[in-house]
Amino acid sequence: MSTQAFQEVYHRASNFGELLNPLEQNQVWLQVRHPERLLAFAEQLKPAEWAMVSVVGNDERELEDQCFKIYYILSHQGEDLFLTIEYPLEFGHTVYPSLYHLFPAVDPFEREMCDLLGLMPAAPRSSQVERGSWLHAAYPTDLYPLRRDLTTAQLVQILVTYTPRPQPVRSSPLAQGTRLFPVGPVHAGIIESGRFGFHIGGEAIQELDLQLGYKHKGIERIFQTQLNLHDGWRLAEQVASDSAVAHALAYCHAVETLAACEVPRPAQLLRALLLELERIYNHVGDIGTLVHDVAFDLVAAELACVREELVRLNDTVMGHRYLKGRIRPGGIQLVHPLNADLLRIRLRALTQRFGGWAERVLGMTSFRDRAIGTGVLSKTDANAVGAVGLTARASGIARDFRHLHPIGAFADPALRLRLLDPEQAHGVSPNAEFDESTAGDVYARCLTRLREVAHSTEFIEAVLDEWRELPDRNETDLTVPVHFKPEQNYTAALGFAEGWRGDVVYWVMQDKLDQIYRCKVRDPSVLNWQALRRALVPDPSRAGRAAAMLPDFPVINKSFNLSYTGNDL
Amino acid sequence: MQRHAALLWLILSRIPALFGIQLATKTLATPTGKKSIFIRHLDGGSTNAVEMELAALTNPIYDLNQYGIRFVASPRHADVLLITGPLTRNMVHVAEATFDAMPSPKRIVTAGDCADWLHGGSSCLFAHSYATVPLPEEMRQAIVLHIPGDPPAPERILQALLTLPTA
Repeated sequence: MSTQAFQEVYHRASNFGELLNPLEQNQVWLQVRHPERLLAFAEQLKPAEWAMVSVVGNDERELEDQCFKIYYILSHQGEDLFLTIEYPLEFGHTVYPSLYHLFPAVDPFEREMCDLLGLMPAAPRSSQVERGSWLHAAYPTDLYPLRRDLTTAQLVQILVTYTPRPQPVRSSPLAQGTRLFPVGPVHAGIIESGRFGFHIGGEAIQELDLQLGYKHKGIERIFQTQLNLHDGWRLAEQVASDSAVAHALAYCHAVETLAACEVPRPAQLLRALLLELERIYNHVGDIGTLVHDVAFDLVAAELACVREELVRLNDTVMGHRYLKGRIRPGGIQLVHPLNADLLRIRLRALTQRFGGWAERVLGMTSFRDRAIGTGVLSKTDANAVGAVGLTARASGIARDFRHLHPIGAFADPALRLRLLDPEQAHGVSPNAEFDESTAGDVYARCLTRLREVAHSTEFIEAVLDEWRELPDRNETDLTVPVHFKPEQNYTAALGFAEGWRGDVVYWVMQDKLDQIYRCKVRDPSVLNWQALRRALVPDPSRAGRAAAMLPDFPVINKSFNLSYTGNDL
Repeated sequence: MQRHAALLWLILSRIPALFGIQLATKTLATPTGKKSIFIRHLDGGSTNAVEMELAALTNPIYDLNQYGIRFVASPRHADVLLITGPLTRNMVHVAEATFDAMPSPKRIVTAGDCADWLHGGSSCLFAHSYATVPLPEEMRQAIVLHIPGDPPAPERILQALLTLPTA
């Protein structure tokens, strides 16, 4: 983080509101109380410099300011710097000024706040935000589960006696000559529940009505009513099992910031190792299922075997096929001492096998024909919707929290170097376009995965090299005690981890001592679902771009492989 | 001779039904003794862990198809509805519609700790949320098997499915 960028935004922000003291050193926290000032300040933030990371709506009517509040959390695109804009709504009010015209990435968050908190953006944006993204017809329209005036028992009582009114699934108007082709919420294969309403003219997709929320389990309310800061990691792991490590890490990071707890180096190393193991087995699995969708069943079968052996390796080394149950606030707890040699040898063998098959299929003309130019997400569209992680990188946007906001073992430059290609390592700007892996199509997303598996393997080997010399290498309990302080009551902290889909971001506000007042979970899929939509539906303003065709939808969807449950919470 | 035997079986096996008596309702074996089961998977709101293990069943290591068991795309082709995850409020009508579309005899198998309705309610973290509901009674009565685990490993799921006709 450069002091200059920090000072610049700090001084600019001071003209618009009150600057508060966040827990993190690399964060500027501005409280703005008037709608005009909020808009004026937001207009000064250039989208090229700032990306909207998360938007948290919070019911603080029982706290000092006695109102609803919205926290906009932005990340600087080039420096290790965060900006939080705290906007208290007026007392008794539920309408707020929208930032959609400046940061379209706020779209899913505004719809979320509409459903779960009953906060609405002001006109004209209000006509675009409708209830129903998270809470479907089974819920009465005036029920806002994240408000704190009703207990969960009272909520359940209302819901049990409520007869859902029959409501057709929302669909935007069909243009002449198009037909509605609904897919879901139950899909043909073994996959999560969600509904896609395609408007198709022949085979071309003209529009997509994306209806998610079927898997809404009320996770954020469970955090604040049933768990405390010490235990919350158990629920964080369950938000999306394929990203259990990333979510647990993001949660623990926030909680450890609240407790001002320093995680010891051995635990930091192993946490990063688990994060990369998670990345590897998911990328291998994804390419396997993706090639199945373009009829390369032989390669799909081989890669499914590699993926199975990777997951079994997870079980052997960490005691769980999906690496659950190890990471908790204060560090990491193992079931038995780490068998570093076994891990090193098996991982190298498996990733080499994967690399061999993946490179073969990526070189085949017939695969390239299906994948190149299919489901193109342009850099402009990716920026517009705030796409993150793998999806963004495959469209040419260098967004990776391991490099941009390095924490834990990633703060070590020598280790981080292993995550880069040789050209990148020698100072070539990560923004320079260098090859097919940034074209934004299915092929780019495959190639990016292939490269990330290789980098992650290098990274893990470097971690194991350091681990070999540690005196603690035969320990199983690598945690330090975590104590929460009463002076941090109603203080919030940010936690994040670069999961395999993208950055997972948690915002945790401490309630009395070790309780949770609010835990906002932001899975990268929330933003990337909008990116998938843009990849499928041509932007009318860009004439000449071919529409995606319906038979390509499975392979495009698999190339993103987004989380339904991570979106729905 | 064999054809006469089959015809005789067909006639005799329908007689109890004429008197309103139902025979061995929980067996799924066909008259020829085959035990191939067609399974429709339903995600009621899971964390995606059990789905990953179900998908692994079709890899060459487990190869579910070798037992004649397979996953089908439509509930109208299915013998068994395999439900994963807690049932969310948003998915209730979808689950009911899927079950209704299945032809008789139909059975439900639940997999994963969050789907444990057979033993009177699950102990998973989502059990006491405003957003999750118990399985509708008609569906709960159709459950013949629960496979516990978070998630149950593929070999455990496979072993459980292979015991189905005798469960």
